[in-house]
Amino acid sequence: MSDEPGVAGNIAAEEIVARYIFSSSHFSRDNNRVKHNAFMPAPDGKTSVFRTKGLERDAVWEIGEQVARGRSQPLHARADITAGEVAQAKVKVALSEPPPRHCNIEGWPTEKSAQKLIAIDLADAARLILRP
Amino acid sequence: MGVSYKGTVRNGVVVLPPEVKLPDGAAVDVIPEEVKTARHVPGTGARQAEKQRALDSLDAVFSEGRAPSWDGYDARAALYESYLAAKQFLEALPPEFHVPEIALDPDGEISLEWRAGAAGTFSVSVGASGELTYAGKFSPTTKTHGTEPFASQVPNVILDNLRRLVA
Repeated sequence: MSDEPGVAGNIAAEEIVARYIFSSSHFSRDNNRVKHNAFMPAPDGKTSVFRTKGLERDAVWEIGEQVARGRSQPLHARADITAGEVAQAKVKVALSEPPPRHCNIEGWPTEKSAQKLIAIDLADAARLILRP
Repeated sequence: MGVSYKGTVRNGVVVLPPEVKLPDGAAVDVIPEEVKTARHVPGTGARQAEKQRALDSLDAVFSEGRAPSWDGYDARAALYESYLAAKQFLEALPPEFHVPEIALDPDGEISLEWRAGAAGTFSVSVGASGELTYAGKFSPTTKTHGTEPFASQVPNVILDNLRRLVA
Protein backbone atom coordinates (compact mmCIF):
# COMPACT_ATOMS: atom_id res chain seq x y z
CA MET A 1 0.00 0.00 0.00
CA SER A 2 1.19 3.54 -0.69
CA ASP A 3 2.33 5.75 2.19
CA GLU A 4 1.29 8.89 0.35
CA PRO A 5 -1.34 10.93 2.18
CA GLY A 6 -4.85 10.76 0.84
CA VAL A 7 -4.55 7.27 -0.63
CA ALA A 8 -6.23 4.57 1.36
CA GLY A 9 -6.02 0.88 0.57
CA ASN A 10 -9.66 0.52 -0.37
CA ILE A 11 -10.76 2.04 -3.65
CA ALA A 12 -14.12 3.73 -3.39
CA ALA A 13 -16.58 3.56 -6.28
CA GLU A 14 -16.30 7.30 -6.91
CA GLU A 15 -12.48 7.28 -6.93
CA ILE A 16 -10.87 8.12 -10.27
CA VAL A 17 -8.16 6.01 -11.88
CA ALA A 18 -6.20 7.20 -14.91
CA ARG A 19 -5.20 5.19 -17.94
CA TYR A 20 -2.25 6.98 -19.52
CA ILE A 21 -2.28 6.91 -23.32
CA PHE A 22 0.96 6.57 -25.26
CA SER A 23 -0.42 5.52 -28.65
CA SER A 24 -1.84 8.12 -31.03
CA SER A 25 -4.27 5.49 -32.33
CA HIS A 26 -5.91 5.04 -28.92
CA PHE A 27 -7.81 8.31 -28.83
CA SER A 28 -9.51 10.71 -31.22
CA ARG A 29 -8.51 14.33 -30.90
CA ASP A 30 -11.20 15.33 -33.41
CA ASN A 31 -14.02 13.62 -31.54
CA ASN A 32 -12.52 14.15 -28.08
CA ARG A 33 -12.95 10.53 -27.11
CA VAL A 34 -10.99 7.54 -25.90
CA LYS A 35 -10.99 4.49 -28.16
CA HIS A 36 -11.71 1.13 -26.64
CA ASN A 37 -8.28 -0.18 -27.65
CA ALA A 38 -6.77 1.98 -24.89
CA PHE A 39 -8.48 -0.24 -22.31
CA MET A 40 -7.83 -3.63 -23.88
CA PRO A 41 -5.86 -5.86 -21.50
CA ALA A 42 -2.16 -6.50 -22.05
CA PRO A 43 -1.02 -10.04 -22.86
CA ASP A 44 -0.90 -10.68 -19.08
CA GLY A 45 -4.66 -10.11 -18.92
CA LYS A 46 -4.53 -6.79 -17.05
CA THR A 47 -4.96 -3.11 -17.87
CA SER A 48 -2.61 -0.84 -15.97
CA VAL A 49 -4.08 2.30 -14.34
CA PHE A 50 -3.11 4.72 -11.56
CA ARG A 51 -5.08 6.25 -8.70
CA THR A 52 -5.00 10.03 -8.81
CA LYS A 53 -6.91 10.82 -5.62
CA GLY A 54 -5.59 13.87 -3.78
CA LEU A 55 -3.08 14.85 -6.45
CA GLU A 56 -2.75 18.28 -8.05
CA ARG A 57 -3.08 18.44 -11.84
CA ASP A 58 0.68 18.54 -12.49
CA ALA A 59 1.28 15.59 -10.17
CA VAL A 60 -1.31 13.53 -12.07
CA TRP A 61 0.57 14.15 -15.32
CA GLU A 62 3.91 13.48 -13.66
CA ILE A 63 2.91 9.85 -13.04
CA GLY A 64 2.35 9.40 -16.78
CA GLU A 65 5.54 11.27 -17.59
CA GLN A 66 7.49 8.87 -15.39
CA VAL A 67 6.05 5.92 -17.28
CA ALA A 68 6.80 7.69 -20.56
CA ARG A 69 10.44 8.23 -19.61
CA GLY A 70 10.82 4.64 -18.46
CA ARG A 71 9.36 3.26 -21.69
CA SER A 72 10.66 5.92 -24.10
CA GLN A 73 7.16 6.54 -25.40
CA PRO A 74 5.43 9.91 -25.84
CA LEU A 75 2.58 10.66 -23.44
CA HIS A 76 -0.40 11.93 -25.45
CA ALA A 77 -3.33 11.95 -23.07
CA ARG A 78 -5.05 10.09 -20.28
CA ALA A 79 -8.47 8.54 -19.79
CA ASP A 80 -10.11 9.14 -16.41
CA ILE A 81 -12.69 6.68 -15.17
CA THR A 82 -14.11 5.89 -11.73
CA ALA A 83 -13.78 2.53 -10.04
CA GLY A 84 -17.57 2.36 -10.02
CA GLU A 85 -17.76 2.81 -13.79
CA VAL A 86 -15.19 0.04 -14.16
CA ALA A 87 -17.32 -2.22 -11.95
CA GLN A 88 -20.40 -1.47 -14.06
CA ALA A 89 -18.52 -2.92 -17.03
CA LYS A 90 -18.11 -6.20 -15.07
CA VAL A 91 -14.39 -5.86 -14.40
CA LYS A 92 -12.69 -4.42 -11.30
CA VAL A 93 -9.88 -2.15 -10.15
CA ALA A 94 -7.35 -3.97 -7.96
CA LEU A 95 -4.44 -2.33 -6.17
CA SER A 96 -1.06 -3.52 -7.51
CA GLU A 97 1.80 -1.61 -5.90
CA PRO A 98 4.64 -0.87 -6.45
CA PRO A 99 4.87 1.61 -8.05
CA PRO A 100 2.82 3.77 -5.69
CA ARG A 101 -0.82 4.27 -6.71
CA HIS A 102 -0.60 1.57 -9.36
CA CYS A 103 -3.68 -0.61 -9.97
CA ASN A 104 -4.85 -3.03 -12.60
CA ILE A 105 -8.22 -3.46 -14.21
CA GLU A 106 -8.69 -7.20 -13.74
CA GLY A 107 -11.28 -9.91 -14.18
CA TRP A 108 -11.38 -9.83 -17.97
CA PRO A 109 -13.04 -12.72 -19.77
CA THR A 110 -10.70 -14.91 -21.80
CA GLU A 111 -12.57 -14.46 -25.11
CA LYS A 112 -11.19 -11.49 -27.00
CA SER A 113 -14.58 -10.54 -28.44
CA ALA A 114 -16.00 -10.28 -24.90
CA GLN A 115 -12.97 -8.22 -23.86
CA LYS A 116 -13.65 -5.81 -26.73
CA LEU A 117 -17.23 -5.34 -25.60
CA ILE A 118 -16.13 -4.49 -22.06
CA ALA A 119 -13.42 -2.16 -23.39
CA ILE A 120 -16.10 -0.37 -25.45
CA ASP A 121 -18.14 0.18 -22.27
CA LEU A 122 -15.07 1.49 -20.44
CA ALA A 123 -14.18 3.85 -23.29
CA ASP A 124 -17.75 5.17 -23.39
CA ALA A 125 -17.63 5.89 -19.65
CA ALA A 126 -14.14 7.44 -19.63
CA ARG A 127 -13.23 11.11 -20.05
CA LEU A 128 -10.37 11.95 -22.41
CA ILE A 129 -7.93 14.54 -21.08
CA LEU A 130 -5.28 15.70 -23.52
CA ARG A 131 -1.80 16.38 -22.24
CA PRO A 132 -1.41 20.15 -21.77
CA MET B 1 14.48 13.21 -43.19
CA GLY B 2 12.78 12.36 -46.48
CA VAL B 3 15.65 10.30 -47.91
CA SER B 4 14.97 6.78 -49.18
CA TYR B 5 17.12 4.08 -50.76
CA LYS B 6 16.21 0.89 -52.57
CA GLY B 7 17.77 -2.35 -51.44
CA THR B 8 17.15 -6.07 -51.42
CA VAL B 9 16.85 -8.63 -48.69
CA ARG B 10 19.46 -11.43 -48.71
CA ASN B 11 19.36 -14.05 -46.01
CA GLY B 12 17.19 -11.78 -43.91
CA VAL B 13 19.58 -8.79 -44.17
CA VAL B 14 18.77 -5.59 -46.08
CA VAL B 15 21.57 -4.96 -48.58
CA LEU B 16 21.87 -1.40 -49.93
CA PRO B 17 23.77 -0.34 -53.09
CA PRO B 18 27.50 0.23 -52.42
CA GLU B 19 27.22 3.96 -53.12
CA VAL B 20 24.90 4.40 -50.14
CA LYS B 21 26.96 5.47 -47.13
CA LEU B 22 25.22 5.62 -43.78
CA PRO B 23 26.99 6.54 -40.53
CA ASP B 24 27.21 4.03 -37.70
CA GLY B 25 24.18 4.21 -35.47
CA ALA B 26 21.97 5.80 -38.13
CA ALA B 27 18.28 5.05 -37.51
CA VAL B 28 16.60 3.48 -40.55
CA ASP B 29 13.00 2.66 -41.32
CA VAL B 30 12.48 -0.27 -43.70
CA ILE B 31 9.16 -0.34 -45.54
CA PRO B 32 8.68 -3.39 -47.81
CA GLU B 33 7.51 -2.67 -51.36
CA GLU B 34 4.28 -4.55 -50.75
CA VAL B 35 3.48 -2.22 -47.86
CA LYS B 36 4.20 0.86 -49.97
CA THR B 37 1.96 -0.55 -52.69
CA ALA B 38 -0.87 -0.69 -50.15
CA ARG B 39 -0.85 3.10 -50.02
CA HIS B 40 -2.00 3.48 -53.59
CA VAL B 41 -5.69 3.22 -54.39
CA PRO B 42 -6.59 3.49 -58.04
CA GLY B 43 -9.65 5.46 -59.04
CA THR B 44 -11.14 8.82 -58.18
CA GLY B 45 -13.93 10.34 -56.14
CA ALA B 46 -14.83 10.80 -52.51
CA ARG B 47 -15.00 7.09 -51.81
CA GLN B 48 -11.53 6.48 -53.15
CA ALA B 49 -10.20 9.41 -51.14
CA GLU B 50 -11.84 8.02 -48.02
CA LYS B 51 -10.36 4.59 -48.65
CA GLN B 52 -6.96 6.11 -49.33
CA ARG B 53 -7.07 7.93 -45.98
CA ALA B 54 -7.93 4.64 -44.28
CA LEU B 55 -5.01 2.89 -45.98
CA ASP B 56 -2.68 5.73 -45.01
CA SER B 57 -3.95 5.47 -41.43
CA LEU B 58 -3.43 1.69 -41.50
CA ASP B 59 0.14 2.25 -42.65
CA ALA B 60 0.77 4.81 -39.90
CA VAL B 61 -0.72 2.61 -37.18
CA PHE B 62 1.33 -0.38 -38.34
CA SER B 63 4.50 1.72 -38.39
CA GLU B 64 3.85 3.05 -34.88
CA GLY B 65 3.43 -0.47 -33.53
CA ARG B 66 6.35 -2.26 -35.13
CA ALA B 67 8.35 -2.48 -31.88
CA PRO B 68 7.02 -4.24 -28.77
CA SER B 69 5.64 -2.03 -25.96
CA TRP B 70 4.54 0.58 -28.51
CA ASP B 71 1.63 1.41 -26.17
CA GLY B 72 3.90 2.28 -23.23
CA TYR B 73 2.91 -0.94 -21.50
CA ASP B 74 3.61 -4.51 -22.61
CA ALA B 75 1.94 -4.69 -26.01
CA ARG B 76 3.17 -7.12 -28.64
CA ALA B 77 4.55 -5.70 -31.87
CA ALA B 78 2.06 -5.15 -34.68
CA LEU B 79 1.53 -8.33 -36.70
CA TYR B 80 2.43 -7.99 -40.35
CA GLU B 81 -0.08 -10.71 -41.33
CA SER B 82 -2.80 -8.78 -39.50
CA TYR B 83 -1.78 -5.65 -41.41
CA LEU B 84 -2.11 -7.45 -44.74
CA ALA B 85 -5.45 -9.00 -43.77
CA ALA B 86 -6.77 -5.60 -42.62
CA LYS B 87 -5.78 -4.12 -45.98
CA GLN B 88 -7.66 -6.95 -47.70
CA PHE B 89 -10.67 -6.26 -45.48
CA LEU B 90 -10.68 -2.55 -46.39
CA GLU B 91 -10.45 -3.42 -50.08
CA ALA B 92 -13.34 -5.87 -49.73
CA LEU B 93 -15.60 -3.54 -47.74
CA PRO B 94 -18.62 -2.67 -49.92
CA PRO B 95 -18.87 1.04 -50.81
CA GLU B 96 -22.16 1.48 -48.92
CA PHE B 97 -20.17 1.46 -45.67
CA HIS B 98 -17.90 4.18 -44.37
CA VAL B 99 -14.32 3.16 -43.82
CA PRO B 100 -13.42 2.58 -40.15
CA GLU B 101 -11.02 4.30 -37.78
CA ILE B 102 -7.91 2.20 -37.34
CA ALA B 103 -6.03 1.35 -34.16
CA LEU B 104 -3.83 -1.37 -32.73
CA ASP B 105 -4.66 -3.88 -30.02
CA PRO B 106 -2.11 -4.83 -27.33
CA ASP B 107 -1.89 -8.33 -28.86
CA GLY B 108 -0.59 -6.81 -32.12
CA GLU B 109 -3.79 -7.14 -34.13
CA ILE B 110 -5.14 -4.31 -36.27
CA SER B 111 -8.48 -3.03 -35.00
CA LEU B 112 -11.14 -1.38 -37.17
CA GLU B 113 -13.85 0.73 -35.53
CA TRP B 114 -17.06 2.34 -36.73
CA ARG B 115 -19.03 4.84 -34.64
CA ALA B 116 -22.62 5.98 -34.89
CA GLY B 117 -23.67 8.74 -32.55
CA ALA B 118 -22.66 8.77 -28.91
CA ALA B 119 -23.68 5.24 -28.02
CA GLY B 120 -23.03 3.11 -31.08
CA THR B 121 -19.73 1.33 -31.67
CA PHE B 122 -18.82 -1.66 -33.80
CA SER B 123 -15.27 -2.96 -33.92
CA VAL B 124 -13.45 -5.77 -35.70
CA SER B 125 -9.96 -6.99 -34.82
CA VAL B 126 -8.20 -8.69 -37.71
CA GLY B 127 -6.19 -11.75 -36.68
CA ALA B 128 -2.96 -12.83 -38.32
CA SER B 129 -4.59 -16.05 -39.49
CA GLY B 130 -7.60 -14.24 -40.94
CA GLU B 131 -9.92 -14.59 -37.97
CA LEU B 132 -12.17 -11.60 -37.35
CA THR B 133 -13.02 -10.88 -33.71
CA TYR B 134 -15.91 -8.45 -33.45
CA ALA B 135 -17.91 -6.61 -30.79
CA GLY B 136 -20.77 -4.18 -31.17
CA LYS B 137 -22.70 -1.90 -28.84
CA PHE B 138 -25.81 -0.51 -30.52
CA SER B 139 -27.42 0.93 -27.38
CA PRO B 140 -26.60 0.67 -23.66
CA THR B 141 -28.40 -2.67 -23.56
CA THR B 142 -28.10 -4.03 -27.11
CA LYS B 143 -24.75 -5.67 -27.70
CA THR B 144 -23.12 -8.48 -29.64
CA HIS B 145 -19.72 -10.14 -29.96
CA GLY B 146 -18.16 -13.14 -31.67
CA THR B 147 -15.65 -14.38 -34.24
CA GLU B 148 -15.86 -15.06 -37.97
CA PRO B 149 -13.37 -16.39 -40.51
CA PHE B 150 -12.22 -14.00 -43.23
CA ALA B 151 -11.06 -15.08 -46.66
CA SER B 152 -11.68 -12.54 -49.40
CA GLN B 153 -15.27 -11.41 -48.69
CA VAL B 154 -16.40 -9.51 -45.62
CA PRO B 155 -18.67 -11.99 -43.77
CA ASN B 156 -22.40 -11.27 -43.77
CA VAL B 157 -22.47 -11.20 -39.97
CA ILE B 158 -20.08 -8.24 -40.03
CA LEU B 159 -22.06 -6.45 -42.75
CA ASP B 160 -25.36 -7.05 -40.95
CA ASN B 161 -23.93 -5.57 -37.76
CA LEU B 162 -22.65 -2.54 -39.64
CA ARG B 163 -26.14 -2.01 -41.09
CA ARG B 164 -27.56 -2.41 -37.59
CA LEU B 165 -25.17 0.26 -36.31
CA VAL B 166 -26.33 2.92 -38.75
CA ALA B 167 -30.00 1.91 -38.78
